[in-house]
Formats: sequence, C-alpha cells, structure tokens
Amino acid sequence: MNEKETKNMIVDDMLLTVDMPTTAGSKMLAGYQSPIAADAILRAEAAGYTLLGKADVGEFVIDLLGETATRGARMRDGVLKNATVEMLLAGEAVVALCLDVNGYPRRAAAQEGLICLKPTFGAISRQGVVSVAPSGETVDILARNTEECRELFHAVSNCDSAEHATIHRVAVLTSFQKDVNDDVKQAISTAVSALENSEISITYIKKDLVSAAKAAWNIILCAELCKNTARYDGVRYGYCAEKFSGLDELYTNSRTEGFGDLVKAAILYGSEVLSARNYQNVYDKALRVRRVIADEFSKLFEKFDAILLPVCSQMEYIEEQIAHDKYIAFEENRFTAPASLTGLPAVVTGGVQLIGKTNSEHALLNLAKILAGEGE
Amino acid sequence: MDRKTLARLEALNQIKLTDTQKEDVLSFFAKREAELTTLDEIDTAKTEPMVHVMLSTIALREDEEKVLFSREELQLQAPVTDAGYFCVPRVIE
Repeated sequence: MNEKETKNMIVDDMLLTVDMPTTAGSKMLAGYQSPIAADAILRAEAAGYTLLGKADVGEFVIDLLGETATRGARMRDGVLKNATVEMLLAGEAVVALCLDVNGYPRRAAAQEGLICLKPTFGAISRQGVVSVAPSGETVDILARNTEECRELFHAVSNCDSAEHATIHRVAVLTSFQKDVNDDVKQAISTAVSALENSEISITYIKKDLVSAAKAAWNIILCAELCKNTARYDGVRYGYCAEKFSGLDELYTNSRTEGFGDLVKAAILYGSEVLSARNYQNVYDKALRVRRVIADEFSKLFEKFDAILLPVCSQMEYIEEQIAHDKYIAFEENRFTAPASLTGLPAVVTGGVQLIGKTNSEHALLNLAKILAGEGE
Repeated sequence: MDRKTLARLEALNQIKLTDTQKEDVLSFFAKREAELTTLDEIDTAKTEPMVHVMLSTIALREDEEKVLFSREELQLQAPVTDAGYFCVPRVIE
C-alpha cells in the first residue's frame, strides 16, 4: 500500500459532509445537504487524510449494526453485517470515523476483527454530527490495526494523552458471564491469556452495579433522542409528506412517514420518561444511577488500569434473530452502555472490550496492540 | 403503559402508529419498564444527578459575531419557501 492509500478514510452517514448528502440512515433526512462538514473530518483532512466516501448506517445509529438502514439490513449468508466495516475489510479505506450512540462501531469491530477506539467523551469534537444522545455519544475510530487508529486519533482529538502510558493491572468483569455464548467466552479467555503472557496482572471481579448501566442508558438515550428528533417536522429541511390537510397533519404525516419503527418506539418511550409523572422516578433516577456507576468506576480505577468485558453476547447476529426482535439493540447494549453512560474511553480488539480511565486512549491502544498480536 | 396513554404520547410527538405498531411499541415499553427494577435497587438518596459526564472544565472562548451562511443558503433544503419565509398550511381562517 502506498503512502497516499494509508490515509484513505471513510465516515459513517452520521457525520456531516459538504460534498455528499447526510441522511443518518433515515428517510427523514433523505437527500439532506449540509452546509458544514464535521469538525473531525476537517481535522483529519488537515492532517492529510482523504475522505473517500460515506458508509450507510441504521436509522440514527440506535440499532445493532445497521439493520434499520433505509436500504434494509445488510446480510451475508444469513449473518448481519455492517457497511462501514465491510468497506474497511474490502480495503476501500484504512480508517473510519463513526458516531457511537448505542455501541454499533464497537460491536461491528468485535465481530469482524477490527480495532475500535471509543474516546473519552469530549476528546474528539462532536461538532458537525447528527446528534442523537449528546450527553454520551462519541465519534469513534475504526481501523485495521492499532497504529492506524492511533494516527487518526492524534489527528482529530483535542486532548493530550500520554503516548507511552502502559497498563499493568486489568480487571476482568465476570458479571456478564451468563449473558454471553461460548464464542465470546473463548475470546475473553484468549485475551486474558495474551495479557498474562505479557506479565499484566489479571483479577476477576463481579460488579452487578455495572449491569444497571443498560437500564440507565436506555432511559437517557431515548429521552435525548426524543428531544433531538423533535426538530424534524418537514418544514425547514428533511422529509415532507405529500398529502396533508392543515399544519398538524403536515407535522404528523411527515414524522410518521419519515421515521422507522425502532426510532418511533424510542421517541415515544423518551417522551414518557420525561413526562411529569415519570421525570423524578425514572429520568432523574437514571441520572443519579449514572453518577453512582461513574463513582464505581472511579473506585475500580484506584486499583486497576483497565476493565475487560464483552462487547456483545455473540459473535454474529443471524437473520432470524433480527426478524424476531426488532428491539434487540436495546438488550445487546448492556455491554456497551457502561462506557457510553460514563463517558469513559474504551478499545475493542480480539472480540473483547477494555474500558480505561479518562484520557487513557494511548494506554488502551498499547494494550490493544498486545491483544492484537501486533508486536513492537 | 396502556393504549390510552400511548395515544396521548403519539399526539404529543406527532407520530401515528398502526395497530400492529402499537402492539410492538407496548412490548418495547414493557421491556423497558421491567428494567426499572434494577435502578430501584440502587440507593441514590444522597447522589446528585449526573447530567454531564465531562469531568474537567470546558475551555471557553469569547463570543464572536460571524455570518456563516446567508438565509438563501440555509433555506435551500426547505420544501416550500417564499420571500425568506418557510411556508406552512394556513392556521388562521
């Protein structure tokens, strides 16, 4: 690969671009042309990266791997695939920038053997993304190896992280053992062996509290999605219904026809948790649980440098599962919710996820290098 | 969650569901409501809500007035405009 090709980049369709439409995988934004480009794209281009194109996504990226995209689920031999990952595996680009709202980039990387870096919240600017859950979404980097990932992170991030920081103490979270299949258990076992062979100390811990992250994140995600999709009314931009009589029908018909089933369900639930009767007991409770879980992680990081846990319950999602349960993403996000909820960085490699302290991206990538067998 | 409350939520969010979609959404709500027990088990009596996850102070800059785009550029995406206005159906007879 020549030097120019090592800087070829794609982005998912949640990052605004001026030369290509941005649809967020939704009929609601079909053909939308943004007047601005995402800050992360501008920084990457200033550092010499070439944007080759955009990858299709699921509607507002709240699904598993893109199965709710307007063009439908991408299936290969009955297994759900992700468009961004397929473009990287096909060699069309070496790195990708993706918006991580409900964990799709991390799941996609785990299932296809790529590296995914979910940075500390705020480390990569979210200016110019189609915002869904602004208190926790991050611009993630997908790459084929840790050095390509590190190089792009260095170009687009706006914080300093010690490049040569190392990790010596890893805690393996066993709370999710009953939720994963044998393939995932094998991936964890392989990762633990690789870390032990590199003289990293491993401790098994059980923290049921972390399991509550899914419930809290589902509430916060749906509430913020409800607020962030209220702007789509068919008047200023986006899909406008062709048939309506009166302003109310214009709004209702545009939103009914423009949004898919999963997004509608999430909007309605978000509205419910923000209602007067539920705000205190549900939404406010979720925000308090968020702090309890963040504090729990802070205590863990007094004794450990990184926490190892699964990314998904299985290494592939089959067609029957997706057809049977359209809301499966809101169950599978139990593994990605802890990092999304707390804003902590995470790296995915070899089918496992490592959550680190705030601004420890380089240390996490150094650990990922060991797990990926990339050597010195 | 019952159908009457769901109908109110639909009206509030200006979304209309079919009967099949209503059944699906009610099952989505049921699963989310079942999750709430895991939150109730956590004592948060002395905990403040965490609205923002950023632990460090956000760097601020001075406000600068800039004109980035003209009205025409920003209205290019709108389905119907007229002399700088976004057009909607008449609301007052």
